[in-house]
Amino acid sequence: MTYVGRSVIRKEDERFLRGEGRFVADATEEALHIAFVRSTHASAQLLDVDVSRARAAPGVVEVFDGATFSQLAGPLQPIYLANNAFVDASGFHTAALRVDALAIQEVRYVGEPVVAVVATNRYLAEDAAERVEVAYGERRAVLHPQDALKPGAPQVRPECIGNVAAGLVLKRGSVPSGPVEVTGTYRIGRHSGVPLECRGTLAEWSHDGIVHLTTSTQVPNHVRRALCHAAGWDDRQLRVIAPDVGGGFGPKANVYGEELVTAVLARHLRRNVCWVEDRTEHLIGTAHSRDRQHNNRLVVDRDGLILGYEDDFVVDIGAHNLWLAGVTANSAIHGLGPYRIPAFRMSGRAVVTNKTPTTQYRGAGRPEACFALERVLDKAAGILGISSEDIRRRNLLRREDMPYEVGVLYHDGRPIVYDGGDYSMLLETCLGELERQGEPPMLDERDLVGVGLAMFAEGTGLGPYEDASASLMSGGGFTVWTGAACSGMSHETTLAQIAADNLAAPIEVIHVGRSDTSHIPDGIGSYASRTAVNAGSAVLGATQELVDRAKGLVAARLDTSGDPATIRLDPSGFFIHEPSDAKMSWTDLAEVLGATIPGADSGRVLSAEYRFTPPTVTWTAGAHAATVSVDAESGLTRVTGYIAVDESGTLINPEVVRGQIEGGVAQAIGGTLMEEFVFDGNGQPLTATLADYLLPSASDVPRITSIHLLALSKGNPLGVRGVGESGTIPGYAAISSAVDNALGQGHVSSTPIHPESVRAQVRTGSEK
Amino acid sequence: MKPPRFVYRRAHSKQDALDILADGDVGTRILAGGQSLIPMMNLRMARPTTLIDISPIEKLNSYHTTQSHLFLGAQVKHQFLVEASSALPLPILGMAAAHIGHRAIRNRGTVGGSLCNGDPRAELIAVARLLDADIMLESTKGLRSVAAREFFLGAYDVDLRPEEMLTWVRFPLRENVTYGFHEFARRPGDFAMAGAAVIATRNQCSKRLEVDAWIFGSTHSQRLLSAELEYHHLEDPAHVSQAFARNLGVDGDDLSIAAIRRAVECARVGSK
Repeated sequence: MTYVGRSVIRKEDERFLRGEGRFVADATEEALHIAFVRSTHASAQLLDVDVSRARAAPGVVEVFDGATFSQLAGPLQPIYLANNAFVDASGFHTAALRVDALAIQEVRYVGEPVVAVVATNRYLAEDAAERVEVAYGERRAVLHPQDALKPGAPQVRPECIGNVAAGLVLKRGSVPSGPVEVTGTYRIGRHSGVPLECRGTLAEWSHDGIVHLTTSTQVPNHVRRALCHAAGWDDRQLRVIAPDVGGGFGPKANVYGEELVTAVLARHLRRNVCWVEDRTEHLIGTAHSRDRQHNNRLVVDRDGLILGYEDDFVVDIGAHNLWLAGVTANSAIHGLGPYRIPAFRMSGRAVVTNKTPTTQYRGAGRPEACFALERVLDKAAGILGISSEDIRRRNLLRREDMPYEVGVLYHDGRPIVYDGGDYSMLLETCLGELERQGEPPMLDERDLVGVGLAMFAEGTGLGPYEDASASLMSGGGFTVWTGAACSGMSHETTLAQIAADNLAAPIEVIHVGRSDTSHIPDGIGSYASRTAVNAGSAVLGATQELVDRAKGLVAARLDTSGDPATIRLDPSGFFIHEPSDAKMSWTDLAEVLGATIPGADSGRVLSAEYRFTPPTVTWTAGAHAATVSVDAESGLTRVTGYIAVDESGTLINPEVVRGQIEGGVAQAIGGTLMEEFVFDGNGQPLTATLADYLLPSASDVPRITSIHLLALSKGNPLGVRGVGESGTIPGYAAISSAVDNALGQGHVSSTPIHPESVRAQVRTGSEK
Repeated sequence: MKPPRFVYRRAHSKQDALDILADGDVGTRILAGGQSLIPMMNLRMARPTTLIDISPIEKLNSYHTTQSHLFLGAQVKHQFLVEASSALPLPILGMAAAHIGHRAIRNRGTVGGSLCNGDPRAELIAVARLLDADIMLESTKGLRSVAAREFFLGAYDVDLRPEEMLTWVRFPLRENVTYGFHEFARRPGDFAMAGAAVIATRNQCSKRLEVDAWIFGSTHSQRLLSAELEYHHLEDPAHVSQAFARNLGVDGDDLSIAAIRRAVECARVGSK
C-alpha cells in the first residue's frame, strides 16, 4: 500500500480536536512574563525613559530599556539576501538594516517595543508597564512613500538614504511603443496574515549554559541564526523549538525583537522567561505586508498580442522588513504571469515609513504583481473590445513553449525557466468549469452579479536547501525531523506519507517530530511554498539513506559475505535476503541494534540525514474565476463562488492540498474585500482590534472548486510543485474583475474594495 | 491585555446587588454578559474597582406581558430574543437582536448590558428608543423609571446613577402597527454601517401610514425620522426615499435612507 497520493486522515487531527495541542502559551506556568511598553508615537525622539517606578512595582524582577538592553545584544539584521548574480544583473541594492529589539534614542512606529518589564506574571507585568514614564519628543511622521521620497523628507532610518531601502530593475529587450498602450495604477492595501494564535516565545535557561527557546515560528533555524548573531552567541548556546503553532502565513516566518529580548533576558536573569503576544500587540506589532503601488504600461497590438510590458512599483515596508530582498524581488520576477512577453522592464523600490514593519505574507509580493498585470490586461481587453479570456488566450504559453526561458534571473541567481505543462489548458479548463456551473448565484433579487478571471505563475520551492533526518527507534518505529516547522499545514501527515512509502512501513509507526534545532542544526524553514518540494524531498532522501544503511546491517547478519546488494526491502516491510529468502523486519533490526548500541540517543538506533538542494524554483500556474453578488445600494460585495484551476505536481495528500487552496482563497477574499491596516494622519493605528480589522469568517467564504491539472515537476524527485500560495495570488485580481463585471462599468484598481467605492462606481456610471 | 486589579462580587439576589451598590461608589460596575465590559477591561480602557456579577439573579432572566406592555428582564439574552421572536408580541426585538455580534456573543450578551453600555451603534438602543420604552432603574431608595428617549445622553453615556441597577425594560404594545428592521454591515454581526428600525401605524381614518424610523450606525448618529405615506406610496421605493431623505437633509443615495427603505419594505411584507 502506498500513501503518497491518498487523502490519509491527518495524524494531527486527533490531538487538535481533543484540545490537546501544545502551543507556546501552554507551557509558560513556571516562567516570568514580559510586558512590553510600546511606542505611542509614529516618530519621536526618546527624551527620557524613567523605569524607576516600574522597577519598584509588585512582582517586578527587572526592567530594561533600549540602552540597558544594548549592553546584552546588538540589532537584528536581514534574514534573506538575494544571490550575487541576481544582484549584479538587476542592480539590486538593499539597505543593511539594523533593527534594535528595544528602541534606542528614537521610535519609528506606534507599537515599537521601548521597554521590557519582567515580572512574576503578565498581570503584574502590565501593571508595572503602566508605571514606566517615557518622554517623547514628537517629530513629523512619514506615512506615505510619496512623502518619504520627497527631497528633504525626514529620514526614517539612517541605513536608508532618502528613505529608500531597496531598488532593482529587471529587463529584457526594450519595450516598444505600440499601436495600443494601456497604463494603470494599481494598489493593494496593507494587510497580513492574522493567525488564530498570536505570537509567543518561551526561553528556558538550563544550567549547561544553553537557552531553550520555544517560539511560535515557521523558521526555527532562521531564529537561531539571527538571535545568535545579534547576541554574539555561539550557535550551540541557543536551541530553538517550534511547538504546535496556530497559523503562520509568513508573519511567523520572520524574526522578531521580542524573541531576542526573551532569549537574552532568560540567560541574563538565569530564569525561564516568556512573552505571550496579545491581539492588540499582534495587530500593531507583528509585521504587516502588501501595501504596494504599481504603475504599469502594457503595449499590445490590435489583436491583443502583448508586445511589451513595464511595471514600476513602490513597496511601503514601514519601519523595516527583514525579508526586504525576497519580497521586493518577488514582485519584479512574478509580474510577467503565464504569458509570452517579449520585452519588459520591471522596476521597483522599497521605501521606509513610520508604520508597522512588514514581512512576507502568503504570496509575498506576487499577488500585487499579479493584480497589476491581470487588471491592465482586463483594461486592454475592454479598450480593444475583446473578451478578457481572449486577450489571455492570445498570449498564454502552451505545451510547445515549455520549458520557457523568460530571459532574466530568479533571485536565487538561476535563469527563470517556466517548467510547466500547458498554461493555456488552465484557462480552458477554468472556462469549462464556469460554464458547467452555470449562472452565478444571486443572493438577493436586487443584487448585481458578475464573473471575473485572473491567472498567475509562481516560482515555488525556493531553496537553498532543506535538511531532514530519519531514525529507526528502539521499538521499531521511526522519527523524522526537518527544518520546515509546521504551523498548521499538516506536515506530520504529509511528510509521514513520504517516509512510510519509502520505508515500507505503516504510517502509524512514523512520527514527524516538531522542528527543533537540536535535531536539525542547519535547516531553513517553512515558507515560500517550499516544504513539499524541499523538506519532502529531503525526507525522501533521508529515508532512502536509512534503508541503505539498514540493508548493510541486515546483510551483515543474513549474508555470509555481508553484501547489501543481496538484500531488498519488500513492500511488506521485511528485508529479504534474496539468495536464502531469509527475512528480517525493521523491528527485528531495531531490537538487534538496540542491544548492540549502548546508550543509543534517546531511543534512536539507526539514523540518516539528507540535504535536498533544488536546482532552482519549480513553477506553478493557475487560472482562477470568482463570482460575486453586489448590493449596489450599499456597495456590500459577497464572493458567491470560486474556481481554482492550478497546474500541480504530485498531490501528496489531495485533501491537504484542497485545504491549502481554500485557505489561500479565503485570505484573498479578506484582502480584496475587508482586511486593511489603517493609520490616521499622525500614524496612529486605527485597526488595533478584530472589531476594526475585518477578517473573513465562514459565511464570507463560498464553496470553492479546486481542480488540478497534473504536470509533474522535474525539479525534485517527488515531482511536486508548491501549492501554499496558489489560492491567494490571483484572488485579488479575479474578485476585482468580477466586481467590474457585476457593475458593468468602472475599473477596480485598488483593494480592499470598500463598499463606499463600489457605491461611487455605481453612481459614476449612472450619471453617464 | 490583562485587566488591572478589581474586586469581584457575586450577587445572589437583586437586593444583594442593590446593597452593594448603595454606597454609590463610581468604580463599581454591574457585570451582566460581559461581552463589552470584559474586553474593555482587558484593554485597560474600562477600570472598574468592583464588579458585581448579577448572573445568579434568575428572576431578571425572564419576561412577562400585560395587556399593554412587555417587560423584559435585564438579564434576558440576545439569543433568547432571536429564538423567541415569534412568541414575543414585539417581533422587532428578535429582528434586531439577530444582528448583534455572533452567536457566542448573543448567548451571553444581555438586554440590560447593551442598554447600559450606551454604544450609539447598538441595535437594541435604537429599538428601545423607537418603541418609546421605559427603563426601570432600581436602588435601595426605590424605583426610578426613565424614558429610553431620555436615558441615552450620548455615546457611552446613560442616565444611570452609581447606586442604581437597570432591572427591567417596559415596552408599550400598540395596535394596528407593523415593524421592520434592516441593517447594512460589513460582515454579519459587525456594527452597522447604517441601520433602521421602523414602526408603521395604520391610521384607520385618514387611510394613511405613519412611519417612524429610528436610524443608527456609523453613517448618521441615532435619531428619529417620521413620515406620513399613502398606502400606494409603499409600492414606490423612490417615494419612500424622498420622504425620509428630505427629513434627514440628505439625498436618496444615503445609506441610512436605503436602510429605512428596506425596513419599510420589511414592515410592508409583515403587514400583509
